[in-house]
Amino acid sequence: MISARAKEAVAGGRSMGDHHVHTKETVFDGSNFVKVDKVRVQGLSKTKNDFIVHQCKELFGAATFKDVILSCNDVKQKLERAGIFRSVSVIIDTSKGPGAHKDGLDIIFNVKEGKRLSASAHTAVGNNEGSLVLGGKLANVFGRAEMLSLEYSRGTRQSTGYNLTFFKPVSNELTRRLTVRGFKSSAEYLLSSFRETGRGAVVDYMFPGPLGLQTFSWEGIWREVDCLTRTASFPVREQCGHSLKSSVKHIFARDTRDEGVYPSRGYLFKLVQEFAGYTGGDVKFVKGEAEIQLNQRLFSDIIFSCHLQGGLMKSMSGDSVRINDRFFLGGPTDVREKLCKYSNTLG
Amino acid sequence: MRKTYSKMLQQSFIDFCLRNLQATGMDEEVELFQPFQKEQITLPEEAQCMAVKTLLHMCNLQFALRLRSNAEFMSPSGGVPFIKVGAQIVSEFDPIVEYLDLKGISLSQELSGAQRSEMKAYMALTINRFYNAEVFLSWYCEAIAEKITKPRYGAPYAWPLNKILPWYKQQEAKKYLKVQGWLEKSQDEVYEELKMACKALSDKLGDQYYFFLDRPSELDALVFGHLYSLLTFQLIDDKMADIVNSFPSLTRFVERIQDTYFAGAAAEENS
Amino acid sequence: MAAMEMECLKGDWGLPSVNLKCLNIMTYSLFVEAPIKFYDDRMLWRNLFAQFPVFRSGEMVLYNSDEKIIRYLKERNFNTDARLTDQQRADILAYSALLEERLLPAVLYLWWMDAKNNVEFSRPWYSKAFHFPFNYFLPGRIHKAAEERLECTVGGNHVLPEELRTKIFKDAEECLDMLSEKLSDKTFFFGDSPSSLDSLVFSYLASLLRVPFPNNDLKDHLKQSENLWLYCSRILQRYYPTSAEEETERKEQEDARRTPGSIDEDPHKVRNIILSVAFAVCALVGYSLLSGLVQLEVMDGSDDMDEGEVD
Repeated sequence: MISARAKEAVAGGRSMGDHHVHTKETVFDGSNFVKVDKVRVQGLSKTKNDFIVHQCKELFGAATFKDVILSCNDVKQKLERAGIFRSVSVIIDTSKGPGAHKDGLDIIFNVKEGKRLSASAHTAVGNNEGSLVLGGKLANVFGRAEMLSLEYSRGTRQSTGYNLTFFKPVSNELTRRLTVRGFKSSAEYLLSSFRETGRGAVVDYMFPGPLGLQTFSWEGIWREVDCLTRTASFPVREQCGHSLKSSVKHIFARDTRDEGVYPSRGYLFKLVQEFAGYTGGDVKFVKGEAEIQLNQRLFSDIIFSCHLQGGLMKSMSGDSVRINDRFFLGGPTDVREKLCKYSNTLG
Repeated sequence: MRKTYSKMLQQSFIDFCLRNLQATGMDEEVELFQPFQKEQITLPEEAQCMAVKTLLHMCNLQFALRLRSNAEFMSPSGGVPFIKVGAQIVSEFDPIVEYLDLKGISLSQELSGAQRSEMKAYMALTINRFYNAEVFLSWYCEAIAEKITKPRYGAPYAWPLNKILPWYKQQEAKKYLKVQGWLEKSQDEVYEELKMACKALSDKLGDQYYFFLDRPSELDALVFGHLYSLLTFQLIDDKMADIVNSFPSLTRFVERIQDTYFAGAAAEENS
Repeated sequence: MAAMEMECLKGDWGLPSVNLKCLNIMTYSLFVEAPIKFYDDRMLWRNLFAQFPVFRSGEMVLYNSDEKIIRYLKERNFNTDARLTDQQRADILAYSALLEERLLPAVLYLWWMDAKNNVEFSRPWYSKAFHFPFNYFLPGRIHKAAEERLECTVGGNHVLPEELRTKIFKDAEECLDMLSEKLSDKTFFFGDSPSSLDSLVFSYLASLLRVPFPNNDLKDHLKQSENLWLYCSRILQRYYPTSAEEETERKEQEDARRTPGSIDEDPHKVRNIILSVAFAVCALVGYSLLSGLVQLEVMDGSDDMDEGEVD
């Protein structure tokens, strides 16, 4: 339970329309000037106080009743998005007790914390094989909405992979996130007859900038390339073996789409720069990639979508770039891949 | 998918054989791939590579030597060395001998049936005793493994791969020794096995120049490869070299082959 | 000198032991007339992983290695190779390496890797050979060890299963041809008296000829080399006369039984199938009735008019 003295009111909001709430004899409408006296959050056990305080701070800046309603909604959504509460409900009451202002409000959040440990099992059909994925998740590890998850997947082609992820909001801000991930994965490139197995770790920090989402990350991956068949072409065979990539990446993404998978409006603009080899490892290159996706509704349910991807890379050591670092055309379900079916592409 | 590839492979192999059955000599350049000689190669690999190089010299085949740090992973069977002739890749000593035989190049064409079976038996002896002893000494004896083999094997890689990869290889080598029952032997027993194998070879060679007739055969190439590596590869002590040196006929054999086939190469290295 | 005794795996089909190493030592001891007592029915509690042979002489115990045992016997003057020249002794070493490299994979393949042999023959035989509780896990263990050995030495990721089979049998046939060349017309490999090479070769040949594998491609090839086949029979007759007699008797009995009664097996098989299907159907019907999944109502043929039950 927390309570705090109401802060000085900031400039009030516009009043648009009436909103009537009947409590005792007072009539509230959207344009009433109010002051939030107390905010109480009930039902916490593991979650730490300072995290909740940070999420609820904006409530004290509300000047009119409408602002209070909207801020309450925002805070409720934030708490739900944190992934640690099963349910969040809000009660707005006039403030009581000593130190209560005439137009003061008490806001009470009733939260129910969710189960900390959960497990999942599902199947996924992806590149060239289906796989069974078993996962376990530990939510709210240290009380500030951190999450630890472990996934193990086993494919029909005997490939196995695992993924251990830990992420934590930085400074209690849910939009800023620090992620640490350790993984093992394998991918088969049937057209080029090789298979790449990667084991490594990624540390990244994501935060919202003025124009879009920015991410800085470091990856260290130990990759193993081996040929799938005895008839793999010699240039691919020459690249077989082990390599270590240690790279620093910066990603800028501005996403105004309404949905990630089948968007109906909005656009995505993504810019990626990768510098490998400057922090160790034995591959050295500079890579830049840009991606843009535009979606526009034409009429009724018809949506026009356009997706462009391009990139440039240069090897900074004397050797040419390895096959598993190169760009590959499309993916397995793309039309482009089917056209190249009968050539042994290097990409 | 496996069956299709196997059928494709069989068909292309048959086509290949039909085309080249009567041909002698090579139309295309032969390239030999092996790990880096000075810093990377380990004792068992060195012995095999030397054997193949000697074989090619004895067959009078010109070849280009290509040093690659990932030669072991490039090879289809995981063993070095391997040769590339056009689009064909053949790895390890026995398959290379068979391949050359199909091309009409053979060092043992004039041997009788009994001599050829003896040759195969002694080749099996060399592989079985010498190769296993080399793997045992390089990878299982902790002193040698930590000081020499592992640093060499991990030399081309950055940290931490230069620690992880030699460890994996050591586990593989231990498994190989375990399935053949060599893991239960002690180091002294292994030296004893080496000695008995050297004695057998020395008795077989006797005073002759080569093992069979007056011409080198595949057995000579294989034995030379292993003996030369045992004599020249630097381990922590000279026990191996001493064992070989205690059989003068073998040391003479090694010197003779070296002078005949590698004198030119040695001169190039020195100049 | 301390008494020598050896534990070995039991034998069948006229062979004193089915394990190659045990058979090798047994034959060698017969050649040199060494007074070794052989036991094939000892409890496995002291030898948990069935590492045969186990040779004991006083305090010394030698496990699992026929070479060490033969070396020990040679040191105790039970030496068949004393009269051989150095070159011949070198040949022995070379040929034993050849057998290990070329013929042993084929024997292991026949025992454990050939699917039909493994399921129909090897597993059942080994399960019967060991006593409780070892018959549950030891055959699996031996199978796994054989598989690993073949994969590490002859196979690998780059070899397809059919190629592995072809390669193993091709090498084995070549090896048999080479042995046949080496033996030519002689009684034994090095003249008229046996040597350690003879006991080794005999152990392999006897296994190939006597063990009745359902799928045995090598037996026909072996029978084509007459000198090897005669050599094997000669040693069996000379050194294992009782077991050879038992074997011929048993074969005659089996042949006598087999000709009229070869259909005997089939009715049993059909009967077993019918019985198991009937049992399964009864169990299914019974369960569904008892658990209420299926309900039976017995209705009278004529419609009984309600006899005026009005409440």
